[in-house]
Amino acid sequence: MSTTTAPLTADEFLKLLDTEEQRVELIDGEVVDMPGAGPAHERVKANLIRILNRWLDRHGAGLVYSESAYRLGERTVLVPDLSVLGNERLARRIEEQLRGAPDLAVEVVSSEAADRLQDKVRLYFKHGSKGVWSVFLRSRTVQINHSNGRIDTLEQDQILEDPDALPGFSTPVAAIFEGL
Amino acid sequence: MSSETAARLRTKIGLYLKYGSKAVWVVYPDERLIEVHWAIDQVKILGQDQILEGHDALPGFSTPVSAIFEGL
Repeated sequence: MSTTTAPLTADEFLKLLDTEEQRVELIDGEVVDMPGAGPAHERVKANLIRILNRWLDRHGAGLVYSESAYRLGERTVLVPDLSVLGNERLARRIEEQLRGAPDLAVEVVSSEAADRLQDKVRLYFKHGSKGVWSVFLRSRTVQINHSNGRIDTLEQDQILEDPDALPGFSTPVAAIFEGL
Repeated sequence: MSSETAARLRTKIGLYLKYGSKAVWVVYPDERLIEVHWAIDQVKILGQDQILEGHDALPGFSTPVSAIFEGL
């Protein structure tokens, strides 16, 4: 698939995705490989799924999706490591739920180029996300991106909150890196 | 599992079991069915009105199959 050169539409790409096992995204018509996900990446995802589900269940506030392909536009499909869909979004027909950006997108970053990551953050907000979290494995930090461009960088001894995306939610950053 | 070919899926189930998985669950969203494999020659198919149990893989676990397809 990395030999694909002609630009694809989102619909063509989603059809391709259905038949491939590779981890790929579509950005402005270009098929882009997603960095491989090692055990630390998967553990952080598992921690976050548990943390988010606990809070979402208690508040009846939505669901966590994992590696879902969101169709942001004619030529862009992004696959956040994790995403949260609120109740309003979940009330749509199932076929429509992955159209547009998720309410919250979470990317777990081990090696992704910084410029590509910032492109994705910008795209998520442009297409309606309320929050985008970037979790950095190497530095054990979390960046909370805000729609106005502000970025809060949180260390392990800090508390993560994102009132725009999940009002009332909080977790110690350390809990996200538990087990590493 | 939505579009994987049956042959490739069978291979994967065999490999999971061979390398130590205590069970393999295959979820068919379109058919609203779940297949539980415990061994190469041991499989059970569960429909929406049945209960999925964890057995050796998740002792004590159980969920209605319908809960897995909630929202569809």
